[in-house]
Amino acid sequence: MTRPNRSTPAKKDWLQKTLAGVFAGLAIAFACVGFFVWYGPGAIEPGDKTQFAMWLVTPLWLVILAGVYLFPSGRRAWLVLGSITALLYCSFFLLRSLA
Amino acid sequence: MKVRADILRTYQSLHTWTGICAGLLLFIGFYAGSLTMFKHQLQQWITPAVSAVGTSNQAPAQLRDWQTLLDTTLQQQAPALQAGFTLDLRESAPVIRWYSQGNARELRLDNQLTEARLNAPSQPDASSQPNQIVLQQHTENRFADLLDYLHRSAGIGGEIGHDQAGVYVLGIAAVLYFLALVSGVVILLPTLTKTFFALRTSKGSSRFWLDSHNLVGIASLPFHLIIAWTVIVFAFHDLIYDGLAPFYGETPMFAQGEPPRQSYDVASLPPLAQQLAAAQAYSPAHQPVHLSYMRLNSPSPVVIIQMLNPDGMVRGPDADYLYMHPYTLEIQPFTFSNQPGADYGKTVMGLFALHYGSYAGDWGRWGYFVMGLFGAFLFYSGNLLWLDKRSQKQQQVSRSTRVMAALTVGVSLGSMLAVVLTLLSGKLLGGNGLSGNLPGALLSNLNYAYLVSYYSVFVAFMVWTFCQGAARAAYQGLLLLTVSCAALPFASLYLQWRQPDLYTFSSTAGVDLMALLFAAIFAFAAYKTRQRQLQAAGHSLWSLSATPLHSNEIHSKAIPKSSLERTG
Repeated sequence: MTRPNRSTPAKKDWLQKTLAGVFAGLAIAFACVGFFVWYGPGAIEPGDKTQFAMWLVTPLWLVILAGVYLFPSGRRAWLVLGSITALLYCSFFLLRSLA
Repeated sequence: MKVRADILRTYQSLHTWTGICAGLLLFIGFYAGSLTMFKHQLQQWITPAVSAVGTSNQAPAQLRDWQTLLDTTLQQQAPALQAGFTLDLRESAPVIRWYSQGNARELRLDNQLTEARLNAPSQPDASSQPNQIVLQQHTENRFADLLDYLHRSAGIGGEIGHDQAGVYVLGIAAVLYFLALVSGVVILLPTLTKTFFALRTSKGSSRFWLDSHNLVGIASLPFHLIIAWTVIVFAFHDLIYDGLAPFYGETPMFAQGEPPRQSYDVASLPPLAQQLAAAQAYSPAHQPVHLSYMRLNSPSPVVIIQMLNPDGMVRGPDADYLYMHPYTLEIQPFTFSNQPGADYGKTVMGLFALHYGSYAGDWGRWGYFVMGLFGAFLFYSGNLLWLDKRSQKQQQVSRSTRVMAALTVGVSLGSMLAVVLTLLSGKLLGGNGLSGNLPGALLSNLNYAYLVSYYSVFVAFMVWTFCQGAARAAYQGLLLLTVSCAALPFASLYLQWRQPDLYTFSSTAGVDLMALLFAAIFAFAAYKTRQRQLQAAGHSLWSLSATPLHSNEIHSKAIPKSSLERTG
């Protein structure tokens, strides 16, 4: 097992990456689920699908949060996740307003 | 599999710090969660019932008697029953219970339960006499709920909104736990195939702990991912629904039931047999065992029916639930549906079962019991590994390492010790074994006694650990756990000897046997801990000559042994 001898946390970007993962990641998760409730299987319906959608938010968010440390820098994490968020929200509300 | 070195380092740090922050909270959540698998058995163990005359046979009472009791009670106690009452059809003598103070939903320790029983035992000529009921009021024992509370909140008190603050704390801990799981897998990837089953005992205890930590973590990864996911959802579902609301816009998120038009009256309540038959017909595999009526004289009456399915999947912790209209016998499935389709609902209910371990009957519960304990082991061993690595790296044991060591030993052993001693003292106090000698406010309500017992033992052991240092306290704590676990069966025997008419002894003998098993496990752990301490080098964290916490930063090698004996 190769364990690094010294664990030097990427101090500069530790906080930035985490914040990007927590906030932008959560926003992306919500937007993905927003697409799911309107355009996923079964169209939009109150009740069971809403519950299922609520359950979906967490794993999506957690996967983004766990992966955010792969970004080379905190700036990059914010840039990429932020633009994905903006893209998703714009397209979602555009689609909804056209519908 | 190759992983870039800097990524490995990043995830190594992530694993360390998420583990350190959340590990101890999760330790309590996991071992207490294991115990909640058998919380009803434990509650039965701690409150042995005195058998009433003539009920020594434990066969469930006949439906005819239930109907008589229900009719009579509804006639004589109508106002008290309006809010709600319950029937547990597994009882050997018919009894109707309702809250004369408090309710079932909140965790209140001074709930008063009133019980109504038939006066005359069911004799052939009973029908010729007018039916009489006997009322009895007592404080509801909430040991099972307190155990559940410990599991959900790690013992952290306080309320935020309508939920306990500890639930939110554990929700956040579960996010860290997910990160720890992912990062743990990432740092194992390069060597996973080579060392997965390696359990090296010859390379020192540190390597053994690391190997077993990895083995347990990878082997039970799916269980842990599910638990992390469900805990976060359980804690934050209201907030997530709020976050989803903007995406729904004007569309309703949940169906609004149409307002009821007519009001109902108990006089027209269909017979029990008919209600049970309707529930049974809905799902032949289930057995309806517990009925909870609410608002019988109102436009929206409901009876919640607990449905057992001993050999199959249930979606609640113990059972499935049906909502039935007691007058029209119309059924709204709550936890399960026999309708084709409804896949979203079925999936969601399945996720509940995956958390509760209730999808495979008693085997599933035992499986979850074991996996929960392995989970607790994962966090304990993780902390020990960190402590070892840190004290090796720093060449000496720093103050922060000592604090973390004391926290690790104090929280995990202290919490378990507190539960075991609460079981012991609760049983002795509640079983009338000692209560004659110790009058006091505490004893009038055992629920408070449980709380006081848990927190005082926990705090006392924490303080003791910080005074004595982790090394000594670990050994002493394990010895105490051994002794107190071994004492549980003797408490049972003692009460049996004092009151031979306690009939539940044999039905909870499983608890006594498990207590003996755990006494053996703790004894073994104490022995190994002692061995390690005796072999440990003078400057190691686990050496017995290690200085207690308050005389920190002193290199223990420099201190003569005699002076340590005095401080310890």
